Amino acid sequence: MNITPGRWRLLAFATALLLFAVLAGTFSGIEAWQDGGAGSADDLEGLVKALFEDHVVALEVLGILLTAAMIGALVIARPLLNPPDSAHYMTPSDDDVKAAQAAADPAKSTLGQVSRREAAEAAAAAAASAGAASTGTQGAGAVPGRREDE
Amino acid sequence: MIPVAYAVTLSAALLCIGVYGLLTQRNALRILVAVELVLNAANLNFAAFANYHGSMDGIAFTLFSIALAAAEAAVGLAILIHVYRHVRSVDVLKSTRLRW
Repeated sequence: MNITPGRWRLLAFATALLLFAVLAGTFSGIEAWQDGGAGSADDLEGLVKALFEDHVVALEVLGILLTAAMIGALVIARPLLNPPDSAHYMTPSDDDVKAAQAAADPAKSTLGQVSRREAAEAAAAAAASAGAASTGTQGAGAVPGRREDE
Repeated sequence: MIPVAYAVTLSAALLCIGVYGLLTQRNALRILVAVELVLNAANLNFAAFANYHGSMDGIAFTLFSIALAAAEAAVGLAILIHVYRHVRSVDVLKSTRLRW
């Protein structure tokens, strides 16, 4: 089934609206929630007691987690010593995608578009056939956006 | 005192906006923002019911949740930086290496 981006957006909006209607309808029907309640959470000493007595283990674990996340984020985003090898990653250009979309079967598409892998493969096939027709020697080595060792 | 139903309805609206963003956006940064909206909807519920019951446990859970959201955002943004270096885009449809 081919779903265009516009239809998908409309479907998502309808889903969100339905979810909100169900939740709001449920909440408005609960009589006990129509007032502010008996208590008030403005007790700073109670917060200190909750954090450092009742949930102190969770607080310590959270501190370790935050430290680990910070170190992990720094490691992941650290500057690269060597620039990435462009032949090592699939980065089909927009022209490749458009050419593949023109040639692809719409029934296989996702959200009305073919996937990038299908786009790269279709563009590669077109380039290979064009290259073979012109020179008769070029093959899979001219595949755009594919790893050399694939 | 604000009725707790108002806060919960606002939280439901935040949740629905976040779900809509998760379903429609292709930019990974916008998806991260949508996830934060969903998390903040949960935080709002925690705070509202803590106030409703007069207990500070809900406020403590809210602080924990905010810290978790910060950790998630830090790691998510770092992954995004890494992805951008290799794909030259943060469009989730362009990152096809891990697609099944």
